[in-house]
Amino acid sequence: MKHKWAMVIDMDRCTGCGACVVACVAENNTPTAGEEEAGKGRLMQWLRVSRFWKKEGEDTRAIFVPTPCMHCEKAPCEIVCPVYATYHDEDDQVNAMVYNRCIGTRYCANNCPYSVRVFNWWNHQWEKPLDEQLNPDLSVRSRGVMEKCTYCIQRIRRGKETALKEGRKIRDGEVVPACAQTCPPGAILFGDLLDPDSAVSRMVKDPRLFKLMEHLGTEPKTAYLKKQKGPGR
Amino acid sequence: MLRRRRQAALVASLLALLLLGGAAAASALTSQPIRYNHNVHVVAYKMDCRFCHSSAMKTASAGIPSVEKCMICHRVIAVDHPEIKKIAQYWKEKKPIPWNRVTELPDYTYFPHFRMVNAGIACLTCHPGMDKVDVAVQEQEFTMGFCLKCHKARGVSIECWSCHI
Repeated sequence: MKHKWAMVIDMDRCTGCGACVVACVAENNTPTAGEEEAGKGRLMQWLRVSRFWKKEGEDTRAIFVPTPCMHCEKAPCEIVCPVYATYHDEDDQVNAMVYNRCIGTRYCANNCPYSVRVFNWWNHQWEKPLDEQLNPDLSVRSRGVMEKCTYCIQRIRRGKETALKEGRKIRDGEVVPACAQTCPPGAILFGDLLDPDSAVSRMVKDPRLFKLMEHLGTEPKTAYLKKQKGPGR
Repeated sequence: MLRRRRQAALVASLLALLLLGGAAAASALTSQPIRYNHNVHVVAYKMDCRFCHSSAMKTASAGIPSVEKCMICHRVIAVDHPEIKKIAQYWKEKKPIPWNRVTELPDYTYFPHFRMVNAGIACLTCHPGMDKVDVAVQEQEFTMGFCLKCHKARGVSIECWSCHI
């Protein structure tokens, strides 16, 4: 069963609260960094909320852009990996990252125009009792490997397993990544583009749709819906 | 001089190997807190693997049965056997049996037992000889080649992310 997972982020709904980042860290066993470490740029988050200021007459507006991995169809990271550790998953049409294969050249991160890949420079420790809340469905990465947003592949697997067991197709909205699940205004939408009736398939036809750095030709599968202009916006 | 020393080293290492081999065979029998016999349960009494390892049908891990599950039968069966008395002791103390891990799954591998069981793969495909042994030992090493041989033959996913997440 083939899928083509995609994400649509509605900028009109995003308030920049950062709940998606927290959910992502909790779900994906991402190490946390304190204030001091974060100041040195040692955050290991797979998803960041980029903030931009925009002047409009006398007002200054904040624009929040949640930036996960774009899961590009023509991914610049894949072609530079010497050991095939990051490659295109045929079944799910996502950009996969295999930790077992990674030898830590970091070429992929250097070639990623969105800077969404993070590297494990250390073996991270979880203080007690935080180690008890690690997610058993995916590995805890060790030193020397690259990691990045996986579209919560463990949840996609779980959805597929449940569907297979019950002998049916995956329903639209059955697989929800941690960020989309937690987003209070529901700005993040996730689904299968090969299913013509899915919410994501409808949203990609929206005239507000744009993709980050479209001119590079990476064909990202994470898309955005532009903020609308109007009173109070 | 050098040659004699080399010979002595060879003899010593051979002796060490023999000793270690003997110790390994003996330690297999004493490796577990209770000398549980798979052969008696699976072959002689024709019990299904899934009766004891019931979570293999529902979760990623096949699971080790609880003391309570042992006691379902052993409250009445073979209660005078010295090994069964050990179970009864754990049951009385309300303590889990500290079984030692036998089957090692390589690191960074996601192996859902329930997917295999639901697809109708026999337990003995990956755990050969488990029905014949006295004390459980791992006879098949789980290399990627071993997994892929079956995955390719059955035409199921061989994507990296199917197992390495």
